[in-house]
Formats: sequence, C-alpha cells, structure tokens
Amino acid sequence: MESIELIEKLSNTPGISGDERKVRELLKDEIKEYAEKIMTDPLGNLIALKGMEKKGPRIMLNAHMDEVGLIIDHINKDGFLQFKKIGGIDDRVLLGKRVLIGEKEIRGVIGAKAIHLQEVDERKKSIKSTELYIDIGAKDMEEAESMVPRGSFATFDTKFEEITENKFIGKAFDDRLGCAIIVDLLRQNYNVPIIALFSTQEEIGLRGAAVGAHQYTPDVAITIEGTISNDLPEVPDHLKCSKLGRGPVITVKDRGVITDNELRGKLISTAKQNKIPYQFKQVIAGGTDSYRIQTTKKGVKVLTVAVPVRYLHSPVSLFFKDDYINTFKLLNKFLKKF
Amino acid sequence: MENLIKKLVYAFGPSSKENSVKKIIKEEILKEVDEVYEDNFGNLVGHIKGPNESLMLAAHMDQIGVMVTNIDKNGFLRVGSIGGLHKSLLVGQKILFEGGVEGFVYYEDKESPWEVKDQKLEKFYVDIGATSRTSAKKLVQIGTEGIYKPSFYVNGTRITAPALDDRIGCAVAIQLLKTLRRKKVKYDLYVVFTVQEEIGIKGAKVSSYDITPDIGIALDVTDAGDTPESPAISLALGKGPAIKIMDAGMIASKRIRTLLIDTAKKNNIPYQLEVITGGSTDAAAIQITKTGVESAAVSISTRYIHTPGETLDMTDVENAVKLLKKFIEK
Repeated sequence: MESIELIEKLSNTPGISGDERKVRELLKDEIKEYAEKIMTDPLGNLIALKGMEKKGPRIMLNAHMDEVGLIIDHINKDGFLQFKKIGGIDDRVLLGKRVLIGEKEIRGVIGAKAIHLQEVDERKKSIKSTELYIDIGAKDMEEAESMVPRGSFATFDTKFEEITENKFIGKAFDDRLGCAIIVDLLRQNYNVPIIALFSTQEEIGLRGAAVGAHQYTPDVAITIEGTISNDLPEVPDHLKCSKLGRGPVITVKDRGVITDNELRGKLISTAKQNKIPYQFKQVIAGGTDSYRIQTTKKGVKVLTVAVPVRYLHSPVSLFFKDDYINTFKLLNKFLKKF
Repeated sequence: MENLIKKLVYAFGPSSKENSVKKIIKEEILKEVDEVYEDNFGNLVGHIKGPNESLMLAAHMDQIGVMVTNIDKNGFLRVGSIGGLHKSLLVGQKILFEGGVEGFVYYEDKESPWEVKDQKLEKFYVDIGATSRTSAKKLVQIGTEGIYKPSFYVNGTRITAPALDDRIGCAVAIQLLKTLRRKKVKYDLYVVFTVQEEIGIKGAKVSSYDITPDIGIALDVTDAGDTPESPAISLALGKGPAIKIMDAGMIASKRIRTLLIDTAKKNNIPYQLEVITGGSTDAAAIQITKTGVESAAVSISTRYIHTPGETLDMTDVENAVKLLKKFIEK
C-alpha cells in the first residue's frame, strides 16, 4: 500500500529538531505533483499551497517534521562521544541502543559499564543520560572527530517493519505519521484553499510553528499528530490516554489549547455519519503546534487529530494501520464538507 | 452594582465556553457604546469612537474549571483542570457542569478514606449520581466542562464568590461604560471582554493584534496579602484599587502607571501599588503585540484566588471605576 511505503521512508529518515533537511527534501519530492507552490521559510518550515484561489475558509494542515534525538557535545580523549538529549527522552530507553550520527550516518552504540563489573547497588539504578556515551569504535579523539564533527545529531537506528499483519514498528511516528497523512490529503481535491505546514523544532518548544502560520494565515488549522497511547497492562482506564485500534484520537484539551468547540462538533458528526471509529484523548497532557498557530495574528480556529502510537519518543514505537487509515478517512471526509 | 456582579458570577463560563457571560455583558453595554462586535476568536468588543490615542481595556470573561476526561463503567467521572486549579482544594467541592448537572468531588484511597494523602488529580473522581456509564453519558460527555458551583454572598463591604476572577474586572468595565460621559472620552476607546485568559492569555493576544491600541490596561484581580501568615504581598482589601507595577508576566509602562497614580492623587481616590511575582494578566500579552503597546493594569485585591471563596471589598471596585473614569475623561 502506497501510504505504508511513504511512512516507511519517512520513519527511516533522520530528522532531529533543528536538522530536518532530509525529511523536508523527501516531503518536497512527495508533494511536488500535488501542490501548486512549495516554499521553505527561514526556520526551515516547509509550506505548500493548493487551491489558494478558491473561496471558503483557508485550511491549514500541520504536522511537524522533527523527531527527538541526541546531539554530540563532546568527544573525549579515548574517542567516545558524549551527548545531550534533544526533546523529551526517557533516560532509561537509551542504554544499549544503536544510533546513526551526523550527515554520513555513522553507526554507533550507546554503552555503559558492563554488568559483570557493576556493584549490586549499581544494577538497581538506571543510568542517567549524562553518564552514558556513544561508541563508534574510534581509537582516539582524533579519529572520532574525523568521523563525527561536534554538534552532529544522532537518531535511533531503527528500521521500519511490519511485526504482524497491519501492525508496524519504527521510530519517529511522532510526527511522521502526521506528515504522511498530509501527503495523502494533498493528493485529494477539496473546495477550499489548503495550506500545508510541515514544521520544524516542534519537540523543543513548538518553534517552527511560532512563525509558520504568519505568512499564510489560515482560518482553520488542523494539527495532525502521532499521539500517546498508554494502553498497557495495569494502567487504569482513565490514564490510558488513547488506545490502539480505536481510531483517530480527537483532542478536546491538551496543555496548549482547547480545540474549537464548534469545529470539533462538526468533526465528530463527520465520524458518526461515515461510521468511522474515533476516540478522545483522555489525559490532558502534551502540547502541539496548534498552541502557536491558534494565536497567530487575529487568531485561528484549531483542531488536533492524531493516530494513537505506543512508546512515543523511544527508539521503537508501534501503530496499527487501521488507525492510520481511519484518521485519513475522517480528515478526508471532514475536508470534503467545506 | 452588586446585582450586576451576582449575575456575572452565576453565569457559566470556563475558558472557551464564555457565551453565557458574553450574552449578559452584551446586553449591559449595548446602549453605552458606539458599536459592539464579537471578533473571530470570540472576544466581545465595545467601542466608543474617539479622535486620539487608542486605549484598550481588557477584562477576561472566562474562569478556571474542570473538564471530563473519562467516564467509567459505574458512571464516575475523571476530570482534568482548565487553568490554574488548586488541586488540593478540589476534594469536597461541588461542581456544576455545562447543562446544569451537579457533581461532588471525592478521591480514591483504600488506606485513607477520610484524609486526602495523595493530592493527585488522577486520584480524584466526580460523582454525578449516575448509575452506569450509559446513564452518565446522558448527562455529560468527555470534554464537558465544569466550574465550582456558583454562589454569592455579601458581608458588609465584602463579597465572596467563585469566578470573581475576573467577573469583577468585567463588572468594573461595564460600570465604567455606564458612568462615562461619552462626549468627554478622550481616547478612541475599546473595551474588550476577552476569552481564554486562564489557559494562556489567548483572547487578549489576538484582540490586541486586531485593534493594535496605543495603550492597553487590563482589569483583573490580584493577590491580597492581608490574611493570617500570608506570603509577603503588600496589598490589602479595602485600601483602594491596585495600580500594577509588576507581575510574573510584565512590568507596567512607567508612563501609564504614573498617569494612573497622578489621576488617583489628584482626585483623592485611594490606591495601592501592586508588585507580585506569581500570576499575570491580559496586559502581558497586549504589551508585546506587533511593535509594542504601552500597557498597565488596575487590579482588585482578592483573597483565595482560584478557589470557590474568592473574596474582595466593594469599595475597591467602586474606586477602580472612579479612577478609570477620571483617567479616560477629559
């Protein structure tokens, strides 16, 4: 299926906040047939326009291109790389993982002291990211520096794959799933002007979107995300946030916005009319680009719709194809209504 | 004015659901201004046209509250907060949901059923008398908003009610418009009743972009420091409206705050100077609009902000109206 191939490409491409070039190039290539104008702004946002001459409300489709990752800030004399985290990453998921570093995608592994040498107490504690290092097999600082310049970004070395029928694992589903849905939506035709905003630096403070809606300010903006599913054993129902397999996740409120009450109603009735399953985000957590877009200039009505994903911001996340398809369907039907 | 305040605090208006408040205000100010309009974001604007500098007054219509996030199989609700809710004060309160359903907040703890040990919102639930998920869903949905059940009482000059933050600012603005002599207004005056202040000062931000005033003044509540062992805040109830110097979001324009102080002195209106380090108001967003707006704020000292027992002194409210009237009239 076309969408899955696109998601695979997007997931496998590195694009840490501030270093989104490869994702941008890929997306540009994917949308060039469907958008009438494509541009990149000074913050690196990719903006595409379609049908701007049409009447009716201008609708922005927004997803962020960046993913969480690491940045190399120091190389020690033995050739090991020290790093800082970019975006929210749980220290406990880092140890023992493979990473790809810099433009040349140098392979490395995140290491720490071997278990054989640890004291009993040490084994019980999780190691802080500041005590971990990346090993690229360099013999000393000089060799390491020639392979990986300081300031290089590192991404998890995770290959996209189908683990069981229609269920996929990979990295950066937050928010490459949103990017893929926008590409799929741009392939369709609607009666309203569409502004696609593929934003940068979302994970480090919604920075791309802070300016991304300024030049082409929409009336309505829909932020499309991969969002938190905490539907794990032992988690009480009200803390699961969202569940895999239950369809698109509609946000009423997160930490950034209360989405537009009227438009949300219209979205829900679209789902009901078309018998598309949907669910609400059930924990008020996280924030998205919609926070920035909502208060651009005289104000924008916002909605947030997401594909539920388990293990966000970790080296391996998981989603169901059905949820992706239903999210696309809902948005497609919704946009057809205008 | 008491009746006006009572009407305003009884209106249902958590952030993003300000319509009932808006309706009351619209009726109150319709005859007092040259035009009334609602912008695309939901702010209500009363405009008195004038030739000179433009002045934007802002008072927010919204109040803090809760939102239903989950309904369990037995019909109990879980809620999240809208704005800066003091979670530890929530247990034992009555909540009024949109549509009129009432609920009582309690908490789950097998070990300690009478004393809240774990002050986490995720441990709290609301009982609306539903017997199942199905019966609950007839009354509320996920996303339904709720507020502290409105109440209002007066003891002498003191008023206690939830949502005085910031219905009192709205009341000051309305009363001001009622007493202003329109011909004497020296500014191009926009009185903006803003939305979504409690969840990030949003209405004021987009409204001031739209209006782009020369001067902005917010009308809001501020903390009082006159209760037993209260933090060191030099504001007290009944000592006059507070002219803001600084809060966590802004330092007020020296020119405007001096003008306000001079106006108070000249007219023998009592006033206090406000310096607080927590919380902010609409003026913080107005100040940094486009190329910048000279901004200030006139506040009403209020005890127990963001609780059901918000308490203030009516003389401060009346003096705030006087001060603003003198500031605005020739």
